[in-house]
Amino acid sequence: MTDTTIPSPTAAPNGFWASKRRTENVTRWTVFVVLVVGSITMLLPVVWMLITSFKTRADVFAVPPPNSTFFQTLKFWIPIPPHPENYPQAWTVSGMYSGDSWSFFGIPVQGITFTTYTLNTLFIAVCGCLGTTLSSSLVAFAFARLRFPGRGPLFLLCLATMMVPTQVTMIPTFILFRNMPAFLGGPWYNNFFPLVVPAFLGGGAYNIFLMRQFFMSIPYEMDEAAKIDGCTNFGVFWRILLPLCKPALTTVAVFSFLWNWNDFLNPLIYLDSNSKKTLALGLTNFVSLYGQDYQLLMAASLVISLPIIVMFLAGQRYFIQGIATTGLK
Amino acid sequence: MTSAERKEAISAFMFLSPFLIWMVFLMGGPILAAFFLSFCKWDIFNPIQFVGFDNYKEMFFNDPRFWKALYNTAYFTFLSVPIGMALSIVVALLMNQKVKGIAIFRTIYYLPSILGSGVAMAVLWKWIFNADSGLLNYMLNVFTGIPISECPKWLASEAWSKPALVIMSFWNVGGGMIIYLAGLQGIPSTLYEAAEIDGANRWQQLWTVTLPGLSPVIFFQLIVSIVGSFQIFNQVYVMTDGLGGPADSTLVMVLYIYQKFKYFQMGYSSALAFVLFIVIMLATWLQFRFAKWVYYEGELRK
Amino acid sequence: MKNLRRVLAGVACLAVILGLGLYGCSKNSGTVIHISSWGTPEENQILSDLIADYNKAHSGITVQLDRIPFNEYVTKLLTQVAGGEAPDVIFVEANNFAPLFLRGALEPLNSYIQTDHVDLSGYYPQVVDRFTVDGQTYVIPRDTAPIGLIFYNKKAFDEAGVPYPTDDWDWATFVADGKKLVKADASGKVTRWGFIDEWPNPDAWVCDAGGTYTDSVKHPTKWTYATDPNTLKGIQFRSDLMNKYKFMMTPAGLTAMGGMGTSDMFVNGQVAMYLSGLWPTPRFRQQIKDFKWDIVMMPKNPSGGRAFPTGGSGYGILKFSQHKKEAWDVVKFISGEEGEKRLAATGLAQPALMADVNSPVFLDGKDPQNKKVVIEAMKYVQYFPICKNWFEVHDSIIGPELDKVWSGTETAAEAMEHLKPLLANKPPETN
Repeated sequence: MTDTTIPSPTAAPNGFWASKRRTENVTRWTVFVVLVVGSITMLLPVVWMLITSFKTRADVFAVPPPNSTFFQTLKFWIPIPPHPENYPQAWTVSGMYSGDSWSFFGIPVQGITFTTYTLNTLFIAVCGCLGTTLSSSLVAFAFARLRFPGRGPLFLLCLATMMVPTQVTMIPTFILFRNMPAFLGGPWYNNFFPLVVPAFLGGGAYNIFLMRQFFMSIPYEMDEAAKIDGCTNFGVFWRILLPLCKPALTTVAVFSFLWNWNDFLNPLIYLDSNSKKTLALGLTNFVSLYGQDYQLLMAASLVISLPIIVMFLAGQRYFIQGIATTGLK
Repeated sequence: MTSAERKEAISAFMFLSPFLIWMVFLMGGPILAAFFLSFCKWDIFNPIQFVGFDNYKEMFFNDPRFWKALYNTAYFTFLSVPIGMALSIVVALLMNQKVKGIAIFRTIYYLPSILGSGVAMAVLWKWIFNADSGLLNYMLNVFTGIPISECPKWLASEAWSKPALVIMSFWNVGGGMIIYLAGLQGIPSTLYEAAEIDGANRWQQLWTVTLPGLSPVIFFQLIVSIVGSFQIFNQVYVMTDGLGGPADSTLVMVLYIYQKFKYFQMGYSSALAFVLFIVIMLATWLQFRFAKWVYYEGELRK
Repeated sequence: MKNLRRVLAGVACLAVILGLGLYGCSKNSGTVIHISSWGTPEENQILSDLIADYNKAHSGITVQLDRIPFNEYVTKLLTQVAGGEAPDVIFVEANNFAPLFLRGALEPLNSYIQTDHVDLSGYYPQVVDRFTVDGQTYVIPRDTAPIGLIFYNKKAFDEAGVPYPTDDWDWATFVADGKKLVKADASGKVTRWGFIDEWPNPDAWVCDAGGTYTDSVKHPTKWTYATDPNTLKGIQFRSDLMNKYKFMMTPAGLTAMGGMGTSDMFVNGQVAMYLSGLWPTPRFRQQIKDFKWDIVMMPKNPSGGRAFPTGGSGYGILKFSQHKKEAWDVVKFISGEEGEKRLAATGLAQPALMADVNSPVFLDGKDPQNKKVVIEAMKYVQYFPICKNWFEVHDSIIGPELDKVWSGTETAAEAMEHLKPLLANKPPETN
C-alpha cells in the first residue's frame, strides 16, 4: 500500500498556517505546545480507563488515606502491582455460558466469547463502511452535479430524515423489517440484513450531505472538460470526482465504520441469538442490575477500541491527501 | 425538456435509485407510520386508538415537562454549537501542520470520539464533575483559588448540570476536526500563493482564502451540529441514568421522547418527536435561507 | 485510483469471507421457546444450566435464552411485541409487573396451575399475592427482595465506640449512631460517612415511616403520597440525614461514584452503614477484606412501625405466545426447586420458596451472620401500587420535585404542596 502514485512528497500541506515564512519556528513551537496541552486533556479518558483496567475490583473506587503526600496519592492511583489478568478474563468471561455454541465455516465451536462478537462486529462494520462509502457518494453526486426536476425538495426531504429521532421510527422500522418478504431475505430479524442492507441504500442523509458539500466545492470545469473528452456521467463521477474527494471519502469511511462498530441500539433490537451478538452488546455483560465489574468493562472497552485506533493511526494520512497531491493545477 | 435534459434527469435518477428505495420504503414508511401514531394512543399491547389532536393539545396546554425539555434542548444547542464549531476549526487548522508526530496528535484528538459515550465514559465523567472530589473543581481551585466548597456543583446542581454537558461535548471535537481537515485539502494552494503575492498576511489569508474555501464544510458542520445537538441523548442518558435530573434540569427532548416510549406511550412520544422535527426543520430551513455566505466552487448553474 | 480500488477490493473480499463463515448457524428444529431475562452472569449461568438440562430431556422443544441488559429490557420487549417476535416466557420484576399486567400482556396461570396441581403454598404468600390480582395468578415467583437491610461496618462501630445495631432499633438510635460514625480529616473533609443508600431511595424511608402512595395497592383510585403525613415524615427524615444531621452523603458528593458505585464506598470503608437488599452479599464476601460486617433491618419509625419496599422477580408467560402449553412446562421447570436451590447457593437473592430460605444452603453460616433476618423481614414487605403510570409518576413527577428537597432548597412539606396539584392531574391509571 505504498503511495507510488503521489508525486511530490515535498509539497507542504496547504492551509492557513502552512505558508512559507521564516518566522515559522516560533509559530511551530506555539502550535506544538498548544497541541500537547490539548492532547493531555484528550488523553484523560484513555489514561483513566487504562489505569482502571489494571486494578482489582475493590481498588477501582478506592481513595487515598487522608493527609497523603503527593507521591503517596500518585502511588495510590497507579495500580501496583498491576493486574493484567483482567484482559484475558474480560475476553472470556462475558457470554461464556454452557450450552452456547456457534459455528464458523460450518465448524461448531463451543462457548461464546468476544472472539465470536468480534467476527460479527467486523462483518457488520466492514459491510456498513463499504456500502455507505459507495452508495452515499453515488447519491451525493446526483445531488451535487446533475440537473433533474425536484432536486431541491428531494434534497431537503433527504435532510429531513435526519431530524426525526430514531426512538420513534424504531418500532415501525422493526415491524417493516420483520415482515420483509422472503425473496428479499426476510424476515430481517436475528440476522445481519437489517444492520447491513440500509448502508447500501444511500448510507444515510448525513453522509450524503457531507459528500455533496465536497463535490460542490470542486470546480465544475473539471466535469465539462471530461465530458468533452467523451466521459459519461458515471465516468465523471468515478474518474474525476471520487479521486479528488479522497479525504472526504476517507472521512465517510471512518465515520461509518466507527458508527457500525460502536452501534448498540440496532444490534440490541435486531439480534437475538448470543452467537450473533456484537461487541457493543457484549460490553453490557459487565453491567448488570446489581453492579458492575468496572475493571473488566474498561479492559474490554479498550481492547474493542484498539483496532480502530490502529486503523486510524495508519490511515490518517489519507485525510491530508487532497487535491494538492493529486495534481489539480 | 430537451432530450439532453431528459437524459441527464434519467441518469440522475439512476444514481439516486438506491437512495430512493431507502427513502420511499425503509425510511419513508416508518416515518409516516410514526407521524400517524402521533394522532393515536398506543401502548403496543393493545389496539391503536385514533385520538385526533389530543396528544398535541396535551403537550402544549397541559405538560410543563415538554416546555422544560424544549428549553433545556435549546439551551444546550445554543451554548454547545458555536463553541464546539469554533474549537474544532481551530483544532483542524493546527492539525493541518507539518509538525513532528502530527499523526499521533490527530489520533489523540479523535480518541474520545472513538471511545464513544458508553457506560465506561460515564463513570469517568461523573468523577471529573464531582463537586467535592472531582478533577474539574480541583483544577478550578488550583488555578483560580476558589475554595472547592464554593465551586459549581456541576451534575448535582440545577444551574450547572447543562454547562457540564456542554463542557463534556467538547471532548468530541475530533469528529469535526476530521471533516475540516478533509475540507482544508480541497482549497487549492494556488489561492494561497496568489494571496501571498498580493501581500496578504496570514491573518488576512485566513479570512480571504481559508474560511471562504472551507465554507461548504462549515455550512455542513453547522447544520449537522444543530440537528445533532437538538437530538442530544446518549450523554444525558448515561450521565443521569435516563432520568434527566437533578430536578429535570437535563431533561432534553429526545430523552423525554424515550421516557414516554418506556412508559408505553407510543403516540405521545411520536407527537413529541414531530414537534421536535418541526423545530429542527425550521432551524435548518433558516440556515439554507441565509446561506449566501457559503461559497461553492462547483455550484450547478440552473 | 489504483490504490483506492485495491483497498476496496480487499475490504470487499474480507466481507464476503466473513459473511460465508458466519452464515447459517441457526438450525433449530421443532418448537422454540424464547425466554427473555436480565441479571448477573451468575444468575444467567444458573438459568443457562437449567435450560441445557431441559433441552437434553425434551427432544421436541428447544428453549432459547435471550439475555437483555436490564436498562434496555423494556425497549427490547416493546419492540419485539410490536413486531410479533414476542418471547414466550419473560422475567417479570415485582414493579414492572403492574404495567405489563394492566395492559393484558400476561397470561393468567390459574388454569395451568390447577390442571398440573402445582402447589404454590411453598412460596412466600406475600410474593404470590403480589403477582395475584382478583384471585388470578400471573407470575410464578423466583425470588423476593425486601429493600430494608442495612449493611454495617463493625470496625467503624468499634472505632466510634458505638454498640452494634440490633433489629429492634429505632430512628433515634439510628441518628445518634450515624452522627458518631462520621469521621473527618484535619481540614474538615469527611473521610467516612455514617450512612448511604444504594441508589437515591426515599421509598425505603417513606415505607418505613408508614407512608402510602395510593388509597389501595391493588385497585388504586387516587394518590395519597402528597397528603399522607407519614409519607412526608419519611421524606423529611431522609432529607434531615443529609442536611440536618449531616451523616449521609449528599447528591453533590454522590456523583463521584456515579451514583452507581455506592457499594464501593462501603467496601472501601468510606461509609459505615449501607441501605440495600440482600444482593450485594456475594460481592461483599469477595471484596471486603479488612473489616467485619453484618446486616440489620432498617430502624423502626418513632411510632414503632416499619415496612420495606420490596423487589423480586418471577416468570410469566406472554399472552402473545404461540406455544403457551410448552412455555408453561418450561416455567414449571425453571421456577422449580432445582433452580431455587442453585439461586440460594449464590447468596445473591432470597428464593421465593420458603423451604430453600430455611435450608443450610441459604443460611450457610458465612457473612452476614445475621442473614436469617431476611425471613423476619418478609413480615414487613410493602409493594408499590398496581397502576399503569406508576413509573412515570414516580420517576418523572415525584423524583424531580424531591431532588429539590435533597439539595436543601425545599422542605419536604413544600415539595408535597407542589406535588398535590401535579398528582391530582395524573390519577392512577388502572384500565
